[in-house]
Amino acid sequence: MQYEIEISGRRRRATVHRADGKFIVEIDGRRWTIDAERVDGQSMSLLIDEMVRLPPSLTLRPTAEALSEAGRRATPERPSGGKPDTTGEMDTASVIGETSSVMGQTSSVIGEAPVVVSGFPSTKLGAGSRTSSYDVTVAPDGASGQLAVSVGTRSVMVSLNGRRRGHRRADGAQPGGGVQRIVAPMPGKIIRVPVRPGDAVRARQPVVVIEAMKMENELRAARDGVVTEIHAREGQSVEAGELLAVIAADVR
Amino acid sequence: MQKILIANRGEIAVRIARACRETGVASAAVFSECDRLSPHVRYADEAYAIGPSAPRDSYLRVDRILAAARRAGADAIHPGYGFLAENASFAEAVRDAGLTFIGPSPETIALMGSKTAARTAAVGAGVPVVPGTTEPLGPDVPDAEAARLAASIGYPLLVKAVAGGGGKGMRTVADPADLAGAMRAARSEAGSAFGDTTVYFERQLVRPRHVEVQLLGDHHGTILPFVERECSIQRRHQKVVEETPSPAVTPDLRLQMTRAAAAVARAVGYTNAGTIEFLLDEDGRFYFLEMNTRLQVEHPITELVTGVDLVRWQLRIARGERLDLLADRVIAPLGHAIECRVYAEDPDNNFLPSPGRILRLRPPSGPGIRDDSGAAAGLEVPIFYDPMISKLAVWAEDRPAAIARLRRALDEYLVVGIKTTLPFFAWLTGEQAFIEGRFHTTYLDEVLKARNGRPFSEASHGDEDVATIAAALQAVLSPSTVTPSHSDNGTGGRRDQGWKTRARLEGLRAASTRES
Repeated sequence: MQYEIEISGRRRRATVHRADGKFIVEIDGRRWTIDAERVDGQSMSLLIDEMVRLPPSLTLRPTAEALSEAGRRATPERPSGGKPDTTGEMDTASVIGETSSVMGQTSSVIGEAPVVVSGFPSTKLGAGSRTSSYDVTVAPDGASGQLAVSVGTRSVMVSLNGRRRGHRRADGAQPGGGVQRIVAPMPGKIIRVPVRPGDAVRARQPVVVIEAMKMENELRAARDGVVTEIHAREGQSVEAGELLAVIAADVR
Repeated sequence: MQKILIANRGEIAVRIARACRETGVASAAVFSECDRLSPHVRYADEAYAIGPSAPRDSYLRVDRILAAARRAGADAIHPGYGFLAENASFAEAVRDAGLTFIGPSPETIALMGSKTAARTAAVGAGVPVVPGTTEPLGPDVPDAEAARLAASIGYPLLVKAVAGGGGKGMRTVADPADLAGAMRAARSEAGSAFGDTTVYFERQLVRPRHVEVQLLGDHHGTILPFVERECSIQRRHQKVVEETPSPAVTPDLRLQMTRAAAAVARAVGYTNAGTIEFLLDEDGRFYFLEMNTRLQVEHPITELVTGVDLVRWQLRIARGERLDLLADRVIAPLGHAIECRVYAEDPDNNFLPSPGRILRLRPPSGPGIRDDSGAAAGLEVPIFYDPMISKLAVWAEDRPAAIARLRRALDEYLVVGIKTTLPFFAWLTGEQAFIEGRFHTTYLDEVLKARNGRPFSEASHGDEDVATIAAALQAVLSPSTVTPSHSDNGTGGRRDQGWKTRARLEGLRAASTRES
């Protein structure tokens, strides 16, 4: 099965097939072997065999020198780390060696020795090759119409098959460039409108202040632009989704 | 005391019902329309509907709460915090109905509810107050007179509502030219929030800490102060993280502060649980700020380091029992405790409220963890009330261990379906200033401003890989959950009828301030 998945404006192609009770997921030429079990309708436990990235000079049957070099340079890579900076570049530009988990007779380098893998990879892998455990939850995000994927406690917004579902984002701004529509994220009362049509606004500048849930909340511009429409006035009660202001892209 | 009616909702109503169960007293909950399925309703022994969701139609309706108490045959009412907890006429109505109000007397609530009267009481007890006006400034005070008073106090100063609280009706003035405008703004905010436009001036201290002293008073003249709580981590005058003991308080200073707090409480004949708030300046001088005449949101951390169940003692004191705790014991903390107020807000979007349905909830557990929650999976976080979903408190042997434990707990805490302030806390607890205990009441606002909206949780490339894998496998294993039609239903109840929205708006206007 093949899916198009968009994250942070980048589109990836994911292919899933089953083998020996596990899943092989291939994303843009990289592969992982995964033991996936459903916890409930929205959560899964994933045991992901770590992918070993090889230096470009390595071939499938490397020389001894290359192997010992690889032992120093190959970095076992968890698909995710506890901190945002634990993984390096993982895009298609980097040359990726064969993963340790591909079914059949494929060499992989773990430490200093090649490991021949067949059958169940996890039982044949050498010492030091991790299988990482992830609790993930995939739930629809009401505000954006995307899927909110929780990886541990971090959340990643994902569009499946590259289609957004026609909702506006919570802050009223559209992704990408162009016109920003500031909409009320919830019912409330307009406290202040600090800008007027024709005003130039900078990213994160407050455009409308709305009171809801006992707090004053500033609705801000997502990007630089020029205010073209204001539909909010002070004291006005508004409903969720109501258009309050429009900001055009700042063309200089 | 056989049955207690709990005039509140959410986590604090659950907290009180738990104390009732442990004490062998029956509990009766009250609930508004949108709270029918709330945990406090399902936990309590009895539950009574008191009206529509807007607070002014339910949780602020004295008549309906008293009617529910009569129906239940309750002999006491616990107000919790917020709503009617510091409303003297409610406490009086409870007393007039022949019921026990679990809190101080209506007279004490009224006295300490006026900021200027409370300051006078503190001065009378020999406790320093922040320099400021002693008399409230009514609506007819001429601008010239206000300017003269302000000049005698000195700038920068704060214009504060006499009836204020929770940061409402408060303005900072650095330039005398801004005084008149700030007074107008504070008056109008105070008028709509508290129905009282009188204000007073207070000098603004430079980088003060907010340190407060919990106390209990019984009906036999005993006042017992507890080890202080440090509450300087505030966002827009709202506490977000509290800890005890304060990293800035030495044993000697603790003795001085607890003695001062007890003196103020004694001067007003205080009974039941209350808190004296102080500002502590950089030179170790402290000033009385105000008294909260109720159980405080952050009471769990005091319970964690002293082992004293404050709510149970509230019930015992209300029954006329004597406070027989050892005074030395409750000012000597065992270990360290920290609490985070977890809100349904999006920290990456200027802390905008994020109401909606909680799809999945997995609170942390294990050693030293306490999660006082009013939320449940499958339920909506209503838009009518304060969006706090839980108070995550941790205890450990010392402060570094408590921070490590808190970070572990934050890492375990999973809330799916709505945005929460959890990623913000994960960031804050890793900040050097926080780790070293170097902060003051404006610290957080300053660093947030400097961050200029930079997201708190940035997914790594590795996270994105796992998310991609997860989305693809979810599509294989549970295809119905990723289809568009399902996702539209996921948030539920977003499209409201006009009348419902109007009711919500009325509720918002009636809402009292968020509690400190």
